[in-house]
Amino acid sequence: MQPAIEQIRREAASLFLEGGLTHDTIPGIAKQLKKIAALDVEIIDISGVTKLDSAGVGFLDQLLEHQFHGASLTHVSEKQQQALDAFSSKHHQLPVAHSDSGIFEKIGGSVYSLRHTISELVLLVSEITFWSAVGIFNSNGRRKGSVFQQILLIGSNAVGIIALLSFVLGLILALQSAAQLRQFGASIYVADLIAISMVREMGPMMTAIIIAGRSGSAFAAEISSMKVSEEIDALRMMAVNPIRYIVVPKFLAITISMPLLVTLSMVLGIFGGFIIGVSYLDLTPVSYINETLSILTLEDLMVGFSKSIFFAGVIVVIGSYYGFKAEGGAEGVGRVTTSAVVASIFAVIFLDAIFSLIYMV
Amino acid sequence: MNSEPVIEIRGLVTRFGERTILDDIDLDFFKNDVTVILGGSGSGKTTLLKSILGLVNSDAGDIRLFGQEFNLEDEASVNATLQRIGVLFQNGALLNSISVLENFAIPLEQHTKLDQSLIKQMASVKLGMVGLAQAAHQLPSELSGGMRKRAALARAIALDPELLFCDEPSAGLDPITSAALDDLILTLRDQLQMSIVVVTHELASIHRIADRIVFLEKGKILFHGSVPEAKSCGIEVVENFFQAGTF
Repeated sequence: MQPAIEQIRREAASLFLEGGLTHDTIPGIAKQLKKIAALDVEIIDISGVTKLDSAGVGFLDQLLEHQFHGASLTHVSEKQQQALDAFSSKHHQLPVAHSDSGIFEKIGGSVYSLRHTISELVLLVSEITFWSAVGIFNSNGRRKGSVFQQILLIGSNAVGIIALLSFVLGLILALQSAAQLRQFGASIYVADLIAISMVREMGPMMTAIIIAGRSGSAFAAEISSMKVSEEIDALRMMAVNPIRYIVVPKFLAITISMPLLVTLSMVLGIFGGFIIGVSYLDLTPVSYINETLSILTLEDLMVGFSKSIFFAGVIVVIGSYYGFKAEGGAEGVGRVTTSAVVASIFAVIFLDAIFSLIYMV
Repeated sequence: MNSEPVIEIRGLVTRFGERTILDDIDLDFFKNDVTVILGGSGSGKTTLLKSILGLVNSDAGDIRLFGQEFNLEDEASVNATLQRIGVLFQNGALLNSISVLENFAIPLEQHTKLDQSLIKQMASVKLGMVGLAQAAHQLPSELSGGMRKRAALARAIALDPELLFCDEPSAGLDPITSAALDDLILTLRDQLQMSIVVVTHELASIHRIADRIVFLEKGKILFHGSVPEAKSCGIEVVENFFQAGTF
């Protein structure tokens, strides 16, 4: 047990420390010592110190160096001297921490590294595109059944959440617009509005955002943990192209799954609108369906699907870009996963805006 | 040698599912000794260490640390006991997101009221002892394996523990670094009056540091005694173990 008694005694120019001088007792002793005028103490007597640990030695060092500058220790026992020798900080010094760079330096640095990022991205995109094109006809260089397995992970497992969210989205859109359109007696146009917005915008974008959160994060986490545990290097040394082995199955799987999920999203979104139209707006089911079918054109569908395929590619590329960039340990994995999700959601929304502009013209 | 035991183990049994890893272990560790736990792979060395520390739940038996029951339900007493113990994990187990210095400071900041300047000073001393003062502001991921282990050792002795556990301190290190680490462990024992428990199967290391050895085989203690005794104990497995390393 720690000796509990700590004591300070002063006689003339001598300071007597007694009891334990350990990491438990030092804060208390330091508080008491603050009241003592520094210049008066010339000798610190530690003969009464029963226990001296490394914190105690550090403390004495500090006393001698700062508070009682020029004072000296007396009555040091052999054991205490050993401890003093072992833990004295006189021979050791920490290097000065390099200070963080200023804001302008940081901005400049990130702009400068942008060049790197872009060239890396272009390289990655070209590699993924090339090997995926090859991979359509040639299943060499990847594990058997890996595309199918990825379709299950990316596609089938996301059916529930996408169906539910699209349905709810359809309901909300219909409800919000119904309130407005009803004032003009234009209730039937809810069907048009839902059909167009779900097929051209909401279906592809919603699905892409959900997939970016669900699978984009998984890509980044999987690849980055493979990277930090040297599995990528191991693949390379087995003469296996990591892009072909890891990324291509994901790319093919997401390219197949995405349009199917988007179809599901479109149908359920429209179904959500249909429920509102029939129940809240008193439209007949037949008129709602007829209106929907008459307004949708092949072009709308093509817009929706082409977007979805594009989004799919973006999610894979961003996920694997961050994955391959990971460094450090578990923390690096977490960091790139977050970045991947944020970046791919941003990219999806940004691209969607560009697509809207292109198709408007 | 026959001082008071710091760890007393009676009838310890640990099972993982159906497999019995530790089978009725009775063992004492003595003050100021370096005890080496050794045995082949899968003989239960690390599990024994983790059972003592309460990291693995044992199925039966009593463990007393510093003469007190190590009751995992009583958090206050467990924390008090843990402050008297330092553990060096196999891969260092430094927190990766913070620098070596901050890693070192965790136990001091959490369990003492020492002010920052004193903590820094102690860091400079102890990181200096393990030869890492220059790397204080680096992240663990920027260090080599040996440096990480030494940084972890510095963290383990931050509070001057009375009892130090080392899980394979020299695994994956070159002979020179490993010898330096062993010297460091011996220095610590002498200076801090520590009792040290080391799990290892590096023969060179065992010869350098072991006061006594505990040889585990299939979850049972095959031999318990000093190194010279072990070499002539007449137990085939133990003697083979020591012969395997001679040239």
